[in-house]
Amino acid sequence: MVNPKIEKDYLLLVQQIQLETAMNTTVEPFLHYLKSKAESFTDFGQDSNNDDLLEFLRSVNRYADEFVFSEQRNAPIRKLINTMYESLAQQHP
Amino acid sequence: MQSTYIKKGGKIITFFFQCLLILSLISSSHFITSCSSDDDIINEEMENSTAWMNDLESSLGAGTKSKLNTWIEKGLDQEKLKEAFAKTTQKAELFKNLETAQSIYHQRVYIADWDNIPGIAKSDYVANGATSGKKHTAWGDPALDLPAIEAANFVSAEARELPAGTKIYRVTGGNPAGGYWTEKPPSSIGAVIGGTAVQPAWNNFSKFYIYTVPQQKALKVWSGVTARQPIAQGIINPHLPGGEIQLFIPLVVRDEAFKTLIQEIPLPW
Repeated sequence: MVNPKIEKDYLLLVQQIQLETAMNTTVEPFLHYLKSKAESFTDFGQDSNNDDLLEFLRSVNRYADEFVFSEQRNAPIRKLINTMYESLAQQHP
Repeated sequence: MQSTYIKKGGKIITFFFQCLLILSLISSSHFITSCSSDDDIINEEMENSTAWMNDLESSLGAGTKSKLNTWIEKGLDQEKLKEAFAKTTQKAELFKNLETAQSIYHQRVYIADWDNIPGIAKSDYVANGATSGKKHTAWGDPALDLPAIEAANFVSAEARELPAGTKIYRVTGGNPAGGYWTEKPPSSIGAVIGGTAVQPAWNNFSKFYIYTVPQQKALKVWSGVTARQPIAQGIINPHLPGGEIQLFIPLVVRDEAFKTLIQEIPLPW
């Protein structure tokens, strides 16, 4: 189960990517990919596997490497993904 | 008397040729019959082999069969494709995934055609990436650190400065100025997919880029053995084994000057 901080970061990340998509539609597949596990990050009742979520974030990060984000949001997007990854890794059993 | 013999002889010859004609008609009609029955078998087999496509055309809509045939013509294995549709209850979803796939390698992931994805390992995925980020104190800049999420893509990584003239390479269909590069040009697409553990879902492998470190400069990178990756979300076996040396270039290094020196070159395969 993810903690509220990770949920907050996830929602912020989705918001950032939505803003990117509004400016540049080629980013849309990345938004779909990111949202494919939305329930795992937002539904506290969902018994998500931490290892799976860590792998998912690793995959999100590698996939992000294929996209050109705006100068303004590129670094914050990368930082958010890493922060979520570190938070999840810390709560790893 | 002589004319009677001639008449009889003529009748015998006529009878002989009539028999010959009848025999040849019988045999040719038998030949035609046997040919047409072979054709029927072939036609029946063809109908059976594409009946599943007709079923999909009926359930998923017009144009489905044509798209399936196009994918097969481009190299997708017909039997694996048929098998994948037979196995799934989510046929529309599978079809949509195949339509939006990055490349034929990505389509092969969706239909589990592992034999035709180069570089993969047919064994269970076990993570072997580094578990924490790294700093290089001599660089003294947190923006050059290797974040934990990037460190996980290396078995281990070391900070290096690539001298002027060093050439580095990147295969991608997307961002030419991304973080992941190699010092050696990849020998095959298998070396990219398997060796540098690039999931077919991320990359269409359509373009090849080179960057040469300019004179009087050095390029700060993290270098090391690529860690394993799952081949796709939720799949344990097969997996991408990694093992090739890869480079990660911190975001702060990939500035405008870096971007302008990236050149597209022909794919090596």
